[in-house]
Amino acid sequence: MDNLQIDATKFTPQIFFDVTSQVLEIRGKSYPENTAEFYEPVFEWIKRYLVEIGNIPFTVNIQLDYFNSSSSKVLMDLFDLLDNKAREMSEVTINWYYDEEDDIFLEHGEEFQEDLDFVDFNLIEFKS
Amino acid sequence: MPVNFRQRLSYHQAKITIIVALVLGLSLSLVQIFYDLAREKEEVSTTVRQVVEMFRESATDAVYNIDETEAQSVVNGLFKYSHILQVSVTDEVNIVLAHKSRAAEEGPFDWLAQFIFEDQDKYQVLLKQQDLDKVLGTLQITTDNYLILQNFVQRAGLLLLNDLLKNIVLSGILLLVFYYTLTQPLLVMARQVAAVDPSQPNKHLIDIPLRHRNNELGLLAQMSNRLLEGFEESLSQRLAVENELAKHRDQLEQLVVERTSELEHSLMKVEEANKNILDSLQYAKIIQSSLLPKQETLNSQLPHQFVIWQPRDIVGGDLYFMDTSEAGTILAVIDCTGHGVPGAFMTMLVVSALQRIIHDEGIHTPAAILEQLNRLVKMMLQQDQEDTLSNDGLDGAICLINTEKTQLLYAGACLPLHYIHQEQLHVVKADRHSIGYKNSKLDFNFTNHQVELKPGMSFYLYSDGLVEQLGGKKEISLGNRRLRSWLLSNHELSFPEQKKKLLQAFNEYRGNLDVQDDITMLGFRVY
Repeated sequence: MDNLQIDATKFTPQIFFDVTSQVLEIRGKSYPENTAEFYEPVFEWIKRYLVEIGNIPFTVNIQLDYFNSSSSKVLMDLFDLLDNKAREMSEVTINWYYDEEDDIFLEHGEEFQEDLDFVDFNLIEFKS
Repeated sequence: MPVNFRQRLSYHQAKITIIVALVLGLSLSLVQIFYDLAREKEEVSTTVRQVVEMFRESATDAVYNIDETEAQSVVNGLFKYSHILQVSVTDEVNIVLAHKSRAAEEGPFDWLAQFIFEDQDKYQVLLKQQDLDKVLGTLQITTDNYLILQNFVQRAGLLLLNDLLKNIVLSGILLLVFYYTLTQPLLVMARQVAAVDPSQPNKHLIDIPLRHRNNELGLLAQMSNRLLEGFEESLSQRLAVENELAKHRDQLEQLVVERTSELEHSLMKVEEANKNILDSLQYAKIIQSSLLPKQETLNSQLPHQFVIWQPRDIVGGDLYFMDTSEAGTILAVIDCTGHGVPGAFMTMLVVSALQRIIHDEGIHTPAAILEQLNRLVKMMLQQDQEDTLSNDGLDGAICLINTEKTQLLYAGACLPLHYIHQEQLHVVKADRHSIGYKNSKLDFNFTNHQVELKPGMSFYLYSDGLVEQLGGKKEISLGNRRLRSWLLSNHELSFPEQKKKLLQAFNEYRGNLDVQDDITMLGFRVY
C-alpha cells in the first residue's frame, strides 16, 4: 500500500501514515466544519490497512493543538477500531503528546486511556 | 556642408606631396651642386698646374740666367689665364725678378665664397735645374676662386629655379588630381549620407562613385550601403517586435479589464450572498435568543448570577436553560456538537425536548432528564437506525435547586460542575457519556450528585469552548487549571463584575487568535 498523506490546513490536521515504519502521525488542529466528511477517507484507508497488515506491530502518534467535540468523537471511533485490532492480534501503541502546561490535553488523554482496554496508550508530556 | 579649401583632403595630400618633393629635390640638387663645385675646383686646380708646368722651364731659365725680361714674359704668359690674380718669380735669395698682380673680382657672393672655401689659392713651384738638385728660385701664383663660385652660383640658381617651377606645376596638377579623385567623390558621398532618412535608412542608398567601383571609395560606399541595409533590417525587426508587444499589451489590458469586471461581478455576487447569509443568521439569532431565558426571569429567580453566551458564528450550538416549577429551579448548560447553523438546529431540538421532558413528562431530577433527553435525541435523529446520517449529540450539565433552597442536585453528560465553598474549589465530575450520537447507549444511567447549599457557595457551569480556547505564548488551551485558579481569586466579586473580568481575561489570553468554539458560562449563588 502507498503512504497516506494529507497536508494540514487551518482547520484540519496533517495526517501521515508511513507504511514502512508502520507509524501513523496526526498533528495540528482539528475542527473541520464537516468532521465526518474530512475523516471518512482516513478511516477507509486505515480499515483497509488493518486488514492487510495482519499482526505487525503498529504505532499512532498524536500531537494535536486543538480539536472540537466532533473530532473528539472521531478520535474515539479511531481508538475503538485500534482497540479491536489490539484485542484480535496486533500490538498497537498510541502515543498521546501533550504540552506540560496543557491540562485539557492531559485530561482528554486520560479519558481516552480509561476507555481503551487493549492498546498500549501512552501519555507523553513535552516541553515547548 | 562646404569644406574649407585649406581643410580639404586634396589640399593636404597635395601639400604633403609638394613638401616631400621639394625637400627631396632640393637635397638632391644641393648634392649635385656641391659635387659640381668640387669638380670645378679640381678642374681649375689641374688647369693651373698644367699652365704652370708649361711655363716652368722658361721660368727656370729666367732664374738661372737672372734674366728679368724672360721672367717678365713668363709672368705675362701666365697672367693671360683669367683665374690667376698674382704671379711672381724670385731667385734663390728671394729677389723678385718679375711680378704682376691684379685686383680680385668682387661681387655679391663674396661671403658665400668665404663660407664655402678659401677665396684664394696659393701655388708655389720650386724652380730647379734638371740635372742639378739645387733650387734656383721660386714661382709663386695666387688664383682667384671667386670665378669658380660665380659659375657655381649661376648653375645652382638655375637648378633651384628649375626645381621650384617643377614643384609649382606639380602641386597644381596634384591638387586637381586629388580634388577630382578624392575630395569630390567624398563630398558627393557625404551629401548622400546626410540625405539618409533615419526612419527609412535604405530608401536612399549611397551611389558608388563612377570609376571608383573597385577602390577604397567604392568599398566605403558599399560598406555604408550594407550598414544602411542592416539598419533597415534591424529597424524593421524592432518595429515588428514592438508591434507584437503592443498587440500583446492590448490583449493583456483587454484581458485585465474583462477579468476585473468578472471579479467585480463575482465579488458583488459573493457580497450579496454573504449579506443574505448574514441577514439570515441575524434573523436566526433572534429566534435562537428567544429560546433562552429572559434576563428579567433569571434576575427574579436567581438574583446573584451571570450568563456568558457567545456563539462563534452569530448563532451556535451552545445553550443555557432555566425552568422553575413546584420541584424547584432547573438550570442547565448544553453544548451541542457543531456550531453555527447545525449547532443552532440542535439547540432547537434540545429546548423542545427539555420542555417536553419537564412539562409534559414531569421529570425534574437532572439524571433522569439527561437519560430521557438521550432517548429523545436519538429517537428524533433516528440514530437507532443503521443507515442514519446523523452522528450528532450534545454534552450537558443540569442542576436542580429545590424549592427550600437547601439542596442542589447535579447530573452531567461530559460537562462538570464547579463550586467554591470556603475558599475551596470542588469539581463534581460528569458522567463520561454524551447524549445522542450513534454510539451512545440508549439506556445509559446518569448519576445525580447532591450538594447541601451553604451561604456564599458559588456555582459554575460552562461549555468546553472556554477552557479549550487556544492562546498565550505557547498557543495552547486556556485549560481548567487556569480557569479554576481564576475562579478562586475572583469568586467573591459581584457576579456582573466576575463576568466582566472573566471576559477580559479570556480575550487577553486569546490575543490575536480566533475564537474557536461557542462559549457559554453560567455562574450563580443561591444565597
